[in-house]
Amino acid sequence: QISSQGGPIYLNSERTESLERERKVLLIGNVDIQQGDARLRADTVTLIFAERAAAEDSASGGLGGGFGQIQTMLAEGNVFYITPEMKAKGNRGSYDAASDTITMTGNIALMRERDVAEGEVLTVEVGKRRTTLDGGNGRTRMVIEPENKSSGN
Amino acid sequence: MDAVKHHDPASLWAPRRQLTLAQARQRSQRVRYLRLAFTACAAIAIGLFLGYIIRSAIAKDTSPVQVSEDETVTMLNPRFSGRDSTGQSFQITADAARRRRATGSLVDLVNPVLIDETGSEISAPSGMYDRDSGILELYEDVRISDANGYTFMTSGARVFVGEGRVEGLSPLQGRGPLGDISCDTYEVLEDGNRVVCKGNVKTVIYPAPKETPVTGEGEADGSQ
Repeated sequence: QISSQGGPIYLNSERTESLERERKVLLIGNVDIQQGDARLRADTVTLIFAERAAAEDSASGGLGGGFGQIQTMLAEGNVFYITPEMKAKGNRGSYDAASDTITMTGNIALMRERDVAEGEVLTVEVGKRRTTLDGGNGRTRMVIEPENKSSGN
Repeated sequence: MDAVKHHDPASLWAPRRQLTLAQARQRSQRVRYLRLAFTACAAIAIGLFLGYIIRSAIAKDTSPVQVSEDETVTMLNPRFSGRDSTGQSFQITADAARRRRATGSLVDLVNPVLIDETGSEISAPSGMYDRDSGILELYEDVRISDANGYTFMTSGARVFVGEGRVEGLSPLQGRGPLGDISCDTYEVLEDGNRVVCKGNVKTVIYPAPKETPVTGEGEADGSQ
């Protein structure tokens, strides 16, 4: 889930391919995923589902029969992750349901109000709403805009 | 010889039995003629019947019933069954099937239903089946449902029955345990394993509610 609020996930795209046996759904072209107050945009997103719990699995085969819950989300190309508190941009992004964590890599730019930070690896723990920026082989760089005092000095 | 008068009153009620000898002989002759005529008629009827059977058996090229171009042949409760390219059996039933042209293999169907081995079912108020090419076209209110509770609605579908493939001719709406989907056109490939939706694809997934872990630490930091 890309939002700590949970709830239905709305996915829009130009093309979608559902692969039953691999339990995958490919979203291709202008992908826009929204859940609660969080939003994920990318060129392509791959959703990988867990196997349906044996009890529910009444019959194999059929369209969308074996899909359980979302296990992993992989986003590629112009990846944006936007919440009311922050905006993050990178080349790739992945979400792992087990750890409830979003990891973005490649030319990360993180914006929070007017503060900007750059790095290589951004980790967002969705449930705990904790974000960690890592410079990878290089260093992180950050620009923080101090608050303007009202007395104007 | 006069009939003997009976003075016995009971005899007045008894039927007249005594025929004169000539009358009796005449009656027997009439019966004999009738019996002869009946036997002759029976023999003639049997002869005609056997003759027809022998003639049609001998006739080599029994030509099929000639149906002119504008006439249609209607079958009630037709059933077409077969196997697709992966060996899965399928069955197409309908309320009625009307063969469109005398020579072609196109059949117009009323309330056609296609069912395959996995329990998937496609139905529509009207359709057309081409037995040669194995294509079933469905029109108006097409419904595709499968054994796992997924239902898709569209107003046009072309089912390549032999290939286990469905091509969407118009927008599709779908609903099921995983969520909902709508799109402009669609294609079902590999017997349902691969579903491709194209154009304005809107999907809604309903994830299971997350179990909120009961932890001692009352961590509610909003720190970034």
